[in-house]
Amino acid sequence: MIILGLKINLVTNEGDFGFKETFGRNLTVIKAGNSGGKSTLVSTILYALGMEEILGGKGENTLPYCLSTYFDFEGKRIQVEASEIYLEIENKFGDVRTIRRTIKDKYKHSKLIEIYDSKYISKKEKLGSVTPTYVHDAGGAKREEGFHFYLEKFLGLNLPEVGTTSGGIAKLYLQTIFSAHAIEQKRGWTDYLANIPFYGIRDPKVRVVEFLLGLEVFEINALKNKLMNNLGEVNQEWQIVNKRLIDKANEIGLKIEGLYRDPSLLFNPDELMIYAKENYTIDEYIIKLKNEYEQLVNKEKAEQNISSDEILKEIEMITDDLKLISIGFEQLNSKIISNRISISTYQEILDTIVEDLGKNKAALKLRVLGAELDIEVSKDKCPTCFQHIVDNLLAEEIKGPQLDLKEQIEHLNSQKKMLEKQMGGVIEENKLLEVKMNNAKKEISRKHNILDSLRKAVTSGTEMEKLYVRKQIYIENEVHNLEKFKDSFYIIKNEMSTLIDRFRWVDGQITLLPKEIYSEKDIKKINFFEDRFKRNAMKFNYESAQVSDIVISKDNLLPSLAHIELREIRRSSTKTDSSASDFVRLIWSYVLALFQASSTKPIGNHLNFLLLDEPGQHSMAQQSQRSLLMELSSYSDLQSIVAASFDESEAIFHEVTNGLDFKLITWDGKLIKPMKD
Amino acid sequence: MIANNLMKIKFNKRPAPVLVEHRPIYKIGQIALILYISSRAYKSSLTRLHLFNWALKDKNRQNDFLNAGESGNSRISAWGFDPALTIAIRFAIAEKLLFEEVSGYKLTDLGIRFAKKIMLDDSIFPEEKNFLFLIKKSITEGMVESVTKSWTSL
Repeated sequence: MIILGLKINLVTNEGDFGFKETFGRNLTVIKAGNSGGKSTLVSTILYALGMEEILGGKGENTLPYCLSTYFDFEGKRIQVEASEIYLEIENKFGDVRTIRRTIKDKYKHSKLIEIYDSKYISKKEKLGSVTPTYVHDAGGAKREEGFHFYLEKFLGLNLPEVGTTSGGIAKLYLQTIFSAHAIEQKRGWTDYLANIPFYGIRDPKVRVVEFLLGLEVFEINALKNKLMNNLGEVNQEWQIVNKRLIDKANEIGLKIEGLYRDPSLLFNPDELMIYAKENYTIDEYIIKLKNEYEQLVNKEKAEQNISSDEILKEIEMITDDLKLISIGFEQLNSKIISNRISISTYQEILDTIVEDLGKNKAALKLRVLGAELDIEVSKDKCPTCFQHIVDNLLAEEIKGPQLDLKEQIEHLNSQKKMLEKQMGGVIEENKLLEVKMNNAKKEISRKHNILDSLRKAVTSGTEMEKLYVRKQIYIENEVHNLEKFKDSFYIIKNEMSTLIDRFRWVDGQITLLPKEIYSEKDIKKINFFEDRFKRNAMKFNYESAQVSDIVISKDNLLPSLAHIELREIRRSSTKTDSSASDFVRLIWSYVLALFQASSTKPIGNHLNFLLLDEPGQHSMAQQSQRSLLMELSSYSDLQSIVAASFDESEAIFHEVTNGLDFKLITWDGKLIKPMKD
Repeated sequence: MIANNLMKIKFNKRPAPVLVEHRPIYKIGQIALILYISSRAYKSSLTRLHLFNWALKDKNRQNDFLNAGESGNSRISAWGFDPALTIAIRFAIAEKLLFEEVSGYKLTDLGIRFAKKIMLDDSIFPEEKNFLFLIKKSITEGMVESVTKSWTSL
């Protein structure tokens, strides 16, 4: 991406004011005094690109008030009636667009960004027809009318999907990528990619670096995600089929052995065994029932021959059976009751969580309401001194980091999900137990009926006859049910085999994926990145640690020394060069190395653009600043824009930039001036 | 013996959850509601604010409270003082939502606007609103004072 030109347009009753400039294709230096509007200029570039979240906020409030309320000019206070920004950008294919975004206007909202196919600033072309887009609404990065969707396509990027902290999947937003290209001066020099906005992406810095370096990890991850999804589907279908089989078996009191909770390559459908009562297999049991049936038919014929002894013996047997079944029934019942108690306990906890969730959501809404009334605590700022404050009334009592509201809501949501899942499991178990209990109930009443008949039969013959007929009907029913079950079992077995075939295929594909997170090619690229980073650090005179000992950690892709992330190194030394400025050198090296590594084959996704606001932090040595500018100007395929005050000294400016090739943008006094045309 | 390189343990410091009541804006919102719905001329003494704040924390307390309001004489003989409330009041004053008067705190115009905005959104403080509307302005400074006087004799 190359920024060709910028125009700030302020409409006032005193005529048009503003600023207009074109930028160099390589190094551009913006030089101005400390309150001359240097950062205003940098802010407007980010604002025009809808990237103001890098400045820490959304909308026109992130810009200095002089662009939207009033400014002083020649001792007069001039009110701003309307204001807007034009930015002309070129992509890597040489296409040019002019972007136009309102700061203040009666009709146009600041979320609107208009795009023109015109070289409005550099070639003074007419704007022509407009494509309206918007920023900062849900879907701004995904829908076609979204500005960032447009910008992504225009810049020829294809942003990958990445994991979120809540376990979902989200797009790696363009704004996060931008934090490696534009460093604003307030927070930007306090950490590597310090300005990265929070979108709930897991490890956002690592993802940004992986993307910029063009690592294969995303393709592999995408493939992995697809396969995992596939595997999830197979798993889910497996559970459904399993459950169907178990339900059917439970209904008629059968037990199944050889089932697998999850699909497995060891599963063999022919090893599935179905047991009926007394450990008979289903087939054996059907034969047994048929035999009994035969016997009954015979007995009915030879009814008179039955002795009361035999009947008494049978009464005894059935009474024993009945006792066993009753014990089972009691056990089932107490399990069901204890499960019901668990369910109601879970429900209580769930209610508290839901209540807490509602309150936290209300707090979030209150922040929005508060922000509308400019209440500073809604922005975590102290109303008196405007410093950042911790969002907790008892902050002094608390040690360590705390969840912010959005994180807390996510945290509660995941707790809620977990509980619901747990409850669902118990409810499901209870359903099964209830089916079993009903079966036991039926069995008990049937046995009671038989006992009644037997007792009567001791004295009367006709009762016996009735009993035989009843038993025959029962057996006929039972055999019918068992045969029906065998039919569905056959079908389910086939379904299971198909599922296992699918499982085998997906599982095989997954084992083919590389085991390490990074492929060999990726490791090569990361090592190259590390090499560039070290070289840069050396060039910029980093000296808080031995540069040769620094490595880029494969865990977080940040520089580290002896497994500790390399940041500010505090030491007791009287050197003029403080360790704070030494850390800034590392940030320079890091940002630059990202570009260097990306632009070396295999080419990564860096936008070949850098915007650095006041890189000479903490009274940085001039020699280091000079090295930075020299390095930046040495790349023909990198546009870099550096804004700096050079300590408001011409001598320092000369010392730092002497002999370098760059375009200079500078002005006297304030940035905003009357516009000539 | 286990080799040294197998003994890597990685700790991740996780941020801790915060009671929603301790979020400044939440407590400030509650104060604004107490002053807006249940206080004469949007004004209340600190002790009385503590009493309401204490009641908002618990359903049972609210029931006692309702009985006290109806019968005219308070059944509540003691209540808790929450440091978070005092800190929230300080914030609210700095935000110019409240200002301090001789006998207590009063909502500013901005504070009234804030309260009105809260009233418009049914999803914010539904229970608090319900309770405060039942109480209305029935708990007077006089009632609070008579209870606090009884403390000094103890």
